[in-house]
Parts: sequence; structure tokens; C-alpha cells
Amino acid sequence: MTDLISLAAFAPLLALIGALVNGLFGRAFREPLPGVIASLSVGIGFLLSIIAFFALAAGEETRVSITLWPYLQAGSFELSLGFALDRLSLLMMLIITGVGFLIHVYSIGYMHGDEGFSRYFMGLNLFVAAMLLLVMADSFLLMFVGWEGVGICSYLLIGFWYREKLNADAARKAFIVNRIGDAGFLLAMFLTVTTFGTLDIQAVNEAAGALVFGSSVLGVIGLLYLLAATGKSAQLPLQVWLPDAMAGPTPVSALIHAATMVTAGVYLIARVAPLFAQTPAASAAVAWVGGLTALIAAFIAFSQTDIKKILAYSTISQLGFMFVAVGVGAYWVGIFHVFTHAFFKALLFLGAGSVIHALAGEQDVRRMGGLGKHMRVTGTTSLIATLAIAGVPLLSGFFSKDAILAHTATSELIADYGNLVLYAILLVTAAMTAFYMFRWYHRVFAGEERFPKKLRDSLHESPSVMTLPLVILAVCSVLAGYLGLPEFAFPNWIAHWLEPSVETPVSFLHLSTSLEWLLIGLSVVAAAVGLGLGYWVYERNRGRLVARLEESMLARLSRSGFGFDALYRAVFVEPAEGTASGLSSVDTDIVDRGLRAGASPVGLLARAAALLQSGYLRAYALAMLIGVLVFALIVSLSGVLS
Amino acid sequence: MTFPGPDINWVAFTPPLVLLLTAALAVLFALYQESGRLTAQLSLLGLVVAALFNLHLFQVVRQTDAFTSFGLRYLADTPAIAFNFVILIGTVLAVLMSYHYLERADLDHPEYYPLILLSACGAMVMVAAGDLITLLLGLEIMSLAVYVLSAWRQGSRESEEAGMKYFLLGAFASAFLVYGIALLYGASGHFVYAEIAAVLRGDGFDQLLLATLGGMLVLAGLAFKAALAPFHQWAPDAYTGAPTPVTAFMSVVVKAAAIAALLRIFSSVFPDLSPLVGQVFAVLVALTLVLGNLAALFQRGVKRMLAYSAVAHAGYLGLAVLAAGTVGTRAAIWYLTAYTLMNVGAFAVLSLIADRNDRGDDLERFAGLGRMKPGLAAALTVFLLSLAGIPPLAGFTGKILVFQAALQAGYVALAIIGIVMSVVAVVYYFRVVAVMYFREPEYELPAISSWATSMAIVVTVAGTVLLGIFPGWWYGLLQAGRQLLAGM
Repeated sequence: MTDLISLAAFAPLLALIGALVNGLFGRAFREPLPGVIASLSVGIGFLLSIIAFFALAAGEETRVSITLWPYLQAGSFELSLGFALDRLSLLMMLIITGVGFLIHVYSIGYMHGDEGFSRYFMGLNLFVAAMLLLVMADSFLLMFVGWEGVGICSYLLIGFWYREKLNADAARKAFIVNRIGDAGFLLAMFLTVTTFGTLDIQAVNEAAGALVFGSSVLGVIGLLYLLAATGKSAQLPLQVWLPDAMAGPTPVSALIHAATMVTAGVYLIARVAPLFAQTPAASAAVAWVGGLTALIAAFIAFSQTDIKKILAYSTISQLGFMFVAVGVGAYWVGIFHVFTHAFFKALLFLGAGSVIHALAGEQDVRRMGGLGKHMRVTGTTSLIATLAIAGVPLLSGFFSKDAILAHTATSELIADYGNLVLYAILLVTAAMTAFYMFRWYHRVFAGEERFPKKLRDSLHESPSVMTLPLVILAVCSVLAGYLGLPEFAFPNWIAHWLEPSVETPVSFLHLSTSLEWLLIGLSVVAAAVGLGLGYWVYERNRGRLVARLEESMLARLSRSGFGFDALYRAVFVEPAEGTASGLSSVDTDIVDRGLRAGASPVGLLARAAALLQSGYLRAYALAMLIGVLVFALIVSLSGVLS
Repeated sequence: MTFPGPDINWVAFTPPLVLLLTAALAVLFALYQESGRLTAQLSLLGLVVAALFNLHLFQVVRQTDAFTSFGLRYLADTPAIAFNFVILIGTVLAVLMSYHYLERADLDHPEYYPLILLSACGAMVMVAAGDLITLLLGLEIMSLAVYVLSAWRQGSRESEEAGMKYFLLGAFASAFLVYGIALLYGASGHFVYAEIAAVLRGDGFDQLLLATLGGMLVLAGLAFKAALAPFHQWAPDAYTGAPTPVTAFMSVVVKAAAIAALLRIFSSVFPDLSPLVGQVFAVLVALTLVLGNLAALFQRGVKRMLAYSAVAHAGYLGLAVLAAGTVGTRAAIWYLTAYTLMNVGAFAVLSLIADRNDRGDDLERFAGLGRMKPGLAAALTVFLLSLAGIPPLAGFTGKILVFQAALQAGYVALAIIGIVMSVVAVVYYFRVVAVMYFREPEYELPAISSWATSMAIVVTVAGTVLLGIFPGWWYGLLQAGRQLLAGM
């Protein structure tokens, strides 16, 4: 059995080989060969993961570790690189390779005729390899390698169509914002080594249980990992990069910015569940960050007009739900939502891609509408995904979202930190989700046709290489939820499956069966209210109400993305740009620009540095002399004082 | 080894001796040569022989015990020999880079290579110095050659300016160093580190203030060579003005020697001085990290950006110096090994892109490099990612090691500054990567092909990647054997 499980260790290698082949020889290949190679390398990885999955299910052990090679041995600190294949990481591998495979296949159709065809598949394969590394790593260090790897691949793929300057800017923004989170990861790693003396995840998890409950060092480690997670998973206050990241090709948005990479933050927290379970403060921070992000992102999604940006904000919002789940201590629930969300959100993005494909690149929902008649498969599957994410009962999103709501209401871990308020926020957000997703579907697929007449005749359903993945994902979007039915009344497979991997002493209030049903009822009501309102506003009222509210404060706030971009621009970007332009002409108008750039502390500092670096020998010598004199002064002062 | 006289262990200084002899021989050759090719080949041969001797020395030291010579004035222990390797690698790469470059730039004079060898020889003496006089000797041997090399481009204002500035400021810094040595001698009556430390620690020592002042001045002199703020200002100008292979050599070998000397002093003499020395040095390191990284952020020229980045890396090395003793010393050597590979590699790529006068290193020139020269662009990407500390490349492990060393020594705030600044650093390194891949070509690049430079690039890429994936091998070697004067 162990051997069969170990087979899965080849999955990242296969993806890497695929990337190498396409990178080295891709230019010589004719379409669709690069796509076939890339799809195969991920597809085989999927098969290996399935084999490993069933072998693990059938066998006795719950965790197989594979050591690759010793990394570093320095004094008492010792680290080997290796994989840990347990129930959690194998489930993630299934999502990554399974959904990844479908998206690879879809891309063969979507990227047809693009001059960067092989470059695209190289990036996609490289991403899969890095993402697998991230979830399979048995140490924080190797995880960080994957963590950075997915960041770089995301960067390359967002800027894939680099001829548009905006795309390259979006790529850079994504990378830089992510680096802030990465700094958190690095700091957390160092603190982990200092505290636990190791970077082995399992060892840290075991040792964390022995530490004092709620001790401040655990809290700080938790908060630093939270910072890392907010970067990668686009949570407040680092969410600004994800909407811009939609500049990449749509399948990339589906795979990286919806189904897999952005869930890495949730995975990270679930991976170190025993650590977070020991520190209610950090857990509460996770939950509150998630709850507020969910609410604000849903609010912003109301007014977006780009077919993909609506989905991007929806992703941020749903990731917020997942953060709440792992924040309140319901680690399996968070992963459950990662699982269901991977299907319906990937489906929504691929559906959007299919639409964009058919409309020759159009992305503005104001120039769409009524497409369901023309694109039956895309329309129907998108409807299923919309209903699933809206939380309509018996579809997958309903079960996972309801589990999050129920566990938030009954959490004992963050009971002191306002879990019921959080529950209320999530309930409202669930209704808002149903509303804006109804709007999305209605603006694109239903209602009047607002696209140019001349496009109407050439309108077509996408080729089957694109629609087949849609159908498969739609089936999964319906069925995936049944793996995690409400525990109090039904068998719940996924909670049981993940238990050995995320086992913690966290407990939840036991409610009476009728109360449990009441909670479920509230979830249903939220979805119904959202959808009903959406139907009334967009179908019955025909958007007249919306048109009237267009100029209100709230609408403007929503359109501007809550003003985060403007704020960051004013505080960080503009001073830096001002300083940069000032520096390029140091000699000409030093005073004038100096005053302007001096408005910010960063600018002032760089300004000062440039002034010192005047190019004059005497100035340099003076700086050295001052330095030495200060030394002498310090020494003599210390002599006088002592 | 039956040389008469007091305690001269010839084995201990075979590597610098080989370099010295090769340089002398090469100067003789140079009398009859127009082109530098032959001296270059001879120099490479000499470097390889020196490396073999060094390897032998390394084996012996790991298995038996460290060598000393002239009392405790010349030390050949594990760190010193490991530093020799770093110096040798840096020098070999610089020679390879120069091989075709000098011809192309019309700078091909055979005296060039002996000067490089002499400088490397001086660096090795500095690395092994166990007393202040040997240190000064090595420093001057190394520096004089580099002053000449950085002004090698005769007739070019920038290059001559670079050499002149470097020379004058270097003389200034040497004055501090000599004065510091004098004060330390005045306070303790000794030049040898071990003996100074013994006096400082002895009963009835009442000249702590004088000794501390001397230590501060020595610190200033060495900080200049390592390009630590506020003694760093010569570096951006000299690095930008000097011919690119010389820049690569300076930014690696000179820095390594200075850091080695700092490590040695910080683990022997300085612990017994007033704790002020450490505190002042910590401030210098913080200043260097912040100034180097921020200034690099605003450079348009890639060469100048790399010059500031070299200053910033001196700051990271300073973190390890603060933890001098076993952990810090190993971290610093490891970091320098990685830094040597990635930094020289980046300059090597640069030398194939800029025109023959080293003009045209603007960011725009790199536009579309990913399409025009995919191999070169990929190599530069590896170097820049490594410099930025992205895993799994060597620069990442190096950063981990120095941060870890600083944390162990209790410099938490400094380590955090370092980590935050390494986030800032990504911005300027990535700007170049973005331009290479996300912009259309704007310039016709000179068609330069040089097998020697290409070889240097291949070696450095392989080293940067392999060292990053298997860091344990080199680190393990550094742990074997003994470090003299550590933790006394």
C-alpha cells in the first residue's frame, strides 16, 4: 500500500517534465501538441493521485512520508526535504490535478491560435508542479518553495498577454502585494524555528499542543501565518491584487485565481490546525478577517461590470467564508468549501471564458445578455454553478456554506470574540452572494440582447473540447456537496476522512436537532431572499431601481472597490513614483522636486540618500569623516558617563 | 619542510604564494606580449593550481588540525580556506569574463591579469590574517591592484573618476585603519589578535576606552572596504565606472576579504571591547540595508542598480558578522559563496548586453531580451531571482542562514529589517525580469559571442541552482575542522 501511495510523489515531477518539454521544444511543436503534452502530464498525475487516494483509504496508515534529500544540518537544527501524503494533502492533490486537468483540456480550445500557445502551457504546467509541491511539503521550508513558485507562475500568466501594458502592471502588482504576505511567511518561519527548533510541520503541530493554551508566542506565529495567508488568498487588506489579476487568460483565472492557488492560505491554516487551535486570539483574527472580507467583497461585486471581475470579487468573498471556517476551528469545513468552490467557481470562470470566446473578447456585461439561447451548454452549466454558489439547497455550495454558518454559530474556540456577530455577517453575505450571482447570470445569459447585432450571426457555442470540461464540472458542482451532509442527521464522509489530518481539541456547541434545522432554514432563507431580490430587481423591475441608485454614495463606494486601490496609490505608489522621477533629474531641479517628493517619509529618505550621493569626492570624504567622528564621540561620551 | 627559522609553515600559505608566483611570471610574459591572451591562460592555470593546493589544505585541515604560521599571525583554518575558495571562484570567473571583453573594449593589455592575481593574493592574506599588521598588508596588496583595475578604461571619464575616487577615499579609509591599529597597539602593546584579547581580558587592564576607540577606527576602515553605510558611497560610483569584469571582481572578492577580516576581529578582539562596538556596527548594518535597498529601487541603469544591490548585500553579510563565531562565520561564508555565483553571473550577462564602453545598461535595453536571447534572459532571471532571495535558489538559503544567525545572536529587530528590506528588493530585481519578458524589443543588441563569458554564465547558473537545492553539502564541509580564535 505504501508503495502505491508513494506513487503520487511523481505527480509534481511529471508536471515539471511537461513544463520543461514545452519550454525547451515547444516552439517547434505544432498546435495542439503542447496542450496535449501538458494535459497528459497533469492527467497522469491525477491518475496517480487517485490510486494513492484509494490506497490510503484502503490501508491502515493515515500518513505516508517520503524523504527526498537532507537539506541542511546546522548545529541542533536539521531539516530534510520531503513530502507528507496524508488525507488532507491527497484531497488537495485530487483537486489540483483533477480540476487542473479539465482546465488544461479546456485551454487547448481556448488558446487556439495564440502565438504563445506553448509558452502558455509551460506556465500552466509549472504552476501545477509548484502548487503540488506546496500541498505535499512536509516542512514549512519546502512549502515556502511551492508558495513562491505559484506566485511566480501566477505573475508570468497574469502578464501572459504582455503587449497590453495594463496586464504587465497587473502582474507586477499581484507579485508585489503577494511579497508582503511572503514576508509574513518568512517571519513566521523564523519564529517557528526559534520556538520549536524545527520546521517540520508535523513536529510543530505536535509540539504546539503541548504549549500553553493562548500563549502569546503562538498568537504571534499565528498572526504572521495569517499575514502570509491574506496575501496569497487575497483577503483584507491585501485583496487588491486579485481583481487586477483577471488580466490573465480566463482559464488561468479559473485554475490559479479561483480553484487552487488562492486557497493556499486556507490550506496553510488547516495544515497547522493544532497550532491555531491553541490560540483563540489568532483564530479569531483569521475569522474576522475572513468575515469582513466576505462582506466587503460581496458589496463590491454588486456594481462591477466586467464579467470576470464580478467573479473575482465573488472569489475573494468565498475565500472569506473559508477563512471564517478555519478561524472558528472547523478545519474540515474550510477544506470542504475549498473542495466544492473549486468546482463551481472554476465552472463559472470557464463559462465566462466561453462567453468571452464567443463574443470575440467582450468582457463588459452591459454589452451581453440573452446569451443562454445561443450557447445552451455554457448557459445551462453556468446556471448550475450560479445556483450552487448562491446556496440553493441540494447543490454543493449549499452544504459547504451551511456547514460554515452552523459552525460559526456554535464555535467555542472564538466564543469570546463575537462569533454570533460573525454569523450574522455571514448570513447577510450569503444573501448578498445569491443576489450578485443572480445579477451576473441575468446580465450575461438572460434578459435582452445588448451585444452588437453583427455578432449575433457569428455567435456560436464553444467547441466540445471546451464544453466537455464544463459539463463534467457541472456534474461535480451538483454532487460534491453530498460528501459533507450535515453531521447531526446524516453520514458525513469528508469530516470523517479529514479527521486524522486536522485533529484538534476544538469543540462546538451541541445544539438540539430542531435548532440545527432552524440554522439550515436560515441559510435557505438567505439564499431565497438573495435570489428573489435579484429576480425582482433585474427581471421584474428591469433595473430601474438600480439606475436610480447609480449615483448614490454606496454605489460609488462599491464601484471604487471600497477605495483600497486609491488609498494604496496615494500612500505607497505615488510618493515612490514622484521620488523616482525626481531622482532621474537630480542635477536640474533638485529643490523643486525635492519638496514635492518630500511629502512622504519614503520619498524623504530616498531624497536624502540621493542628496548624499552627489558624486563629489569631498562630500563622500565628509560623510566618512562624520561617521568616524560620531564613533569617537560615542566612545568618549561612554567614557565620560561611566 | 625543514626551513630554518622561527615557525614558518609554508603549507599554510601555498595558495596565495602560487598566485604571487604566477603573477610575477605573467608580468615577465607581459613584457613580450601585445595581447593579454597568454597571460590570461597562464593566470587561469595558476588559479587552478592554487585551487588544488587549497583543496589539499582543506582536506588536511578537516582531518587533522588548523595551520598557523608566524606565531598566530597567519591562520589557515576552515573559514580561511573556505574563504580562499570563494576568492578563487570569484577570480576565475572574473578572468573568464575579461577574456574577450578586454579585446572588444580595446583594453587588452597583458598587465591586467597579473593585477587581478595580485589582488586575489592580497585578499587571501587578509582572510588569513591573525594580527593587525598582516591584515593591513593584505588589505593594501589587494587594494592597490584594484585601484588600478577600476581605472583601467583609459580615456573614459567615468572609469578614471571611479579609480581616482576609490583610490583617494581608500587612502582616507586606510588612514583610519592605521590610526586604529596604532591606538589598539598603544592600549594593549600587541598586534596579534590572540594576544590583544588576552591583555584586554587580563586583570588590571585600564585602557578600555583607548582600545575601544582603536577598535572603532579599525571598524571604520574595514567597513569602507565592505561598503557598509556611511562608508559605502564610493561603491556605486566605482562599480558603475569600472569595466564590468572589474566591477564583478570588486563586488565579490574585495567584499569577501573585508567580511572575512571583520568576522575574525569580531570573534577575537571585539568581544572584549566595550559593547558599544557591536551596537555601533548594528546601526551600520541597519543603515546599509535600508540605504542600499532604497537607493537601488530608484536606479534606471541596471549596472548601477546592481551596484546598490551589492551595497545592500553587504548589509545582509553584516548580519552574519554580528553573529561572528561559529554560526555567523559559516553563514557568512555560505552567503558569500552564493553571492559570488549569482552576482558575478549577473554582471557576466550584463557584459554581453552593454556595448563596448559599458554604456547602454538602461532598463530599456533589456526589453524583449526574453525573445531575442532566451538563454541569456533565462540566466539573468535565475541570478536576479536568487539575488532577491526566491527559493529554491542559492540566495534564498543564504538569506535564511544569515537571518537565522542574526536571530540567534539576539538581533531580532535587525533581522526583521533585513526581511522587510528583502521584500523591497524584489521590486527592483523583478523590474528587470518584467522588462525582459513583458516588453517588446526596442534596441538592436550588439552581436557578442564569447565562449569564455558563456562558460562563466553556465557555471554560475548551475552553481546558483545546485547550491540552492543541495545547500547541506557545502554547509556540511564548513562545519568540519576547527575555527581558530572563535569564541575566545
